[in-house]
Amino acid sequence: MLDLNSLKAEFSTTTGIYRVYSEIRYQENRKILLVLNNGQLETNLVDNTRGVSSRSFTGGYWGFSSYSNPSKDSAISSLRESTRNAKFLAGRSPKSDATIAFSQVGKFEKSYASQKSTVTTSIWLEMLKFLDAMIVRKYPDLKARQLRLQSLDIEKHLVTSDGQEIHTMIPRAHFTISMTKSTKNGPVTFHDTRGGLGQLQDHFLVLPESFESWIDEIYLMTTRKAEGVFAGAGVKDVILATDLAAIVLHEAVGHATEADLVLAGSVAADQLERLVGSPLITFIDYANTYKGTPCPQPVHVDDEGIAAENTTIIDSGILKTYMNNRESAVRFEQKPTGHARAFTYADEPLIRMRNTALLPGKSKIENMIESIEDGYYLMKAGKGQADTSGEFMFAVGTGFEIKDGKLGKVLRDTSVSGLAFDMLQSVTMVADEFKWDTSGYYCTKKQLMPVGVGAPAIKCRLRVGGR
Amino acid sequence: MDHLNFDFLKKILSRIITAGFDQAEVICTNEHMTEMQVDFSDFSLLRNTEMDQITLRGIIGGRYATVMINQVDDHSLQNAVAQMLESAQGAPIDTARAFAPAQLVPMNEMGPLEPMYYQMHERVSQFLKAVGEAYPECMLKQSLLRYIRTRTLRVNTAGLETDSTEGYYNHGVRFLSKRNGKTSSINYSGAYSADLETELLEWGGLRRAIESSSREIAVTPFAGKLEGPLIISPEALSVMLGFWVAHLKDEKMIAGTSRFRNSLDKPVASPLLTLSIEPRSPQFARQEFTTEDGYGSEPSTIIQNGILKSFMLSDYGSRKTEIARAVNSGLNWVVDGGTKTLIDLFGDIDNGLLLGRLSGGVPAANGDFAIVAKNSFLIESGFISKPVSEVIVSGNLFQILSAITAVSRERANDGMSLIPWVCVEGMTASGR
Repeated sequence: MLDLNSLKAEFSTTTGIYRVYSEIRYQENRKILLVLNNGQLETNLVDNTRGVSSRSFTGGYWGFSSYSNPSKDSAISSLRESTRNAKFLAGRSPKSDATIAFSQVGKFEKSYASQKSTVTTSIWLEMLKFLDAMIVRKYPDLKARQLRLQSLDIEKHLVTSDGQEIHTMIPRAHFTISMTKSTKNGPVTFHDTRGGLGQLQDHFLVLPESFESWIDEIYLMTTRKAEGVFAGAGVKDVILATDLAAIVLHEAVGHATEADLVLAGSVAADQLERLVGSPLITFIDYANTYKGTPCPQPVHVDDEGIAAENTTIIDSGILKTYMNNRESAVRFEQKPTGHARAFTYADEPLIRMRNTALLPGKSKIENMIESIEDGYYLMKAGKGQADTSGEFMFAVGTGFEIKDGKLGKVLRDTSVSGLAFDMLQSVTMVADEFKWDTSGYYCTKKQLMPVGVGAPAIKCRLRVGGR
Repeated sequence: MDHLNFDFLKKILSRIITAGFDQAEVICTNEHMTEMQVDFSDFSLLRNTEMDQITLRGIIGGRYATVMINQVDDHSLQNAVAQMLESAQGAPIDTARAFAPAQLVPMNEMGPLEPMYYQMHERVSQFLKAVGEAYPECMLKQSLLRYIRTRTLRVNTAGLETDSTEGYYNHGVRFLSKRNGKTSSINYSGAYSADLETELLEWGGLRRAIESSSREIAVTPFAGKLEGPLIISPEALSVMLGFWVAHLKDEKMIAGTSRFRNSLDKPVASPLLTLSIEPRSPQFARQEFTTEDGYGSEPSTIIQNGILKSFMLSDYGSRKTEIARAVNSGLNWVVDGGTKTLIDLFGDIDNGLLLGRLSGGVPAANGDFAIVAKNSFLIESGFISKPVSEVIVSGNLFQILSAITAVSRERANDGMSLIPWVCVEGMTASGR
């Protein structure tokens, strides 16, 4: 293992006419992906990727360099190249007043590695085969089935030229079961995912039979969805279930308040201290702990060596702050709270959310349903997009009709769309039960990034796609 | 990069066989990337990365496993082989697993082999200046000019040896336009080039997209319902075709959920639609020398005048479905142009919609979808008129490609695809 501390002497805070800030990161991503498709092992993959990178800031520009080979020589080369790259840009058009925030974390170490022994891949494969056989035996009418087991451990060592020494290991593991039935209107698919922070053995080292009730639930929803109805198109009163609310808020509201996107003209620009949502909305990006329990994607110190703190983005409907990195924090005169994260050793840190959460309200879900005469209860976020203008569209995997205050027929695939702050303004009820999403959500913004998202169910008005 | 040679790969192969595997394959890829990033019309980052990936594949007693690492030291390789053996032992027997046979695939090298730092900087500077002068309302959110060089070596126990190197440039831009406090919707444009001979503004559809962006400032929410014809831009058609061809690939074909499992040589789309793959065509910046399985890549026709002519199956997918494998892995799409000029295509429409970009999720398993039309305009009396937002377009993916009624003569080339505008009937657009 590369000893980053031995490289501190290589940092040079002044080089010629330039003052240089630098960081060196050694990172390893360890991934397991097993996919059993209709009993066939489609993917049996172990992917271990590690390397070293350096990023330097001088004259208002960043330079970055990385190598797969995590040797001391590679680390020194990457440091020199990142400095050279920053100087290449600075030499053409220096920004004399550019500066970044500095940190005072010092040494920090945190690992969420499992306390249980590692389980071999062959054991997991046996579990998948057992469960696949169970599905075939119990539900022979399925047209297709897929079992997907995956884990990702991200281990990082970081040293910075302003004195931070950080070591973290954050793992997560997820298991997805997907079922497909044929209908006269074409195939219908339903899936569900379990898992979260931790390694495979933390979540799934149980008797395979204990998954049976979960399998039954997925089959039941697949069957009900196959017999389901299409949502009617139009603007409706809807309840977004926890998973859907959490993902829509992350994508449509969270991204718009990332400082780099604010600088690019997002809908949140010039909205600080203004009412952007219902007073029922308090939206926080948690760093690592919620009510005394680790969040799905805990971040204690970010990849710029900044201490991670909770960031209250919207407080009772009022936009309070943006999410910053070292550079944007200076620009907005806000405190950096640890949002700069990189996905692999070869990626530069970007402003990212960690664990976005809408705080629970006081409404009971049954009262929320009762309050709707003609609308929908929507669940299972599919793929979607939101842009910084706040306009968003998400596929919705299923849900229920709500007629006269009661849940009705199950819905087939539909979609929701709207404008982020309009949606927040339309929220009239927030459920009292908060849940972290367990789907293992990845956010995309130049790089992939595992994130945590959570919310209670919310009642709002949105446009529902349909036939 | 001392490990990028056949002798090294063969040593790994031999190690895998010694561990007990019957068949094995080793693929070693080295990628160099140089990236110049602009944020808000100003340079922000110069980044270079050197990435290795070694993929080990093995079959033992019909059981298959893959391990990927990016380290070439003895200890890492030893662990990788042990890990692969352990994974394979738990895998079910699958007789469809095999590796490509020995064949003559010449060593290939194409495109620039080193980045031109100064020329990259000059081209980006020129681009920023040109946009500032010609389109002062355009706000560049981000521009990424990348040079990428990839070398891939492959050996397997059937005697296959391939070695190819590809270098190219890629430019991606995100932008919007702003006037008097009003902004257009965000748009994106990306294109590939084998060199830096041409100004970045002329790559792919970038100039067209930026010009359109300034017209989108006056965007208003769409009200009501429109059941008229829809003109789909090359960029939006490319996304739709991507969803469509997923039904010709391994996952859906093997699972039996493909819409087209029994449709070879049958009509699957409008007779006006012809889709081909040209992996080695010089009209594109990128080149596919070998398939993902290691076969030499050749051109293919996927849809000819609406008739399905070939699937896009891997070697494994081919054996699982007993249908011929694809002769390429799908790089460089060509959709045949039609007979109408763009002016005529629009001219025939009294009341319709130009769909610039799609936003939203993937279609449901049965092809139904509802997407937000972004960067889109009403078409009135044969001309592009008002820009509109908050438009939902709903329909069925399979019906859309069957409902193409006209194809433009003009096509857009982004360095990896050559695609026209098409007119379709039968889709519904709805607003507030």
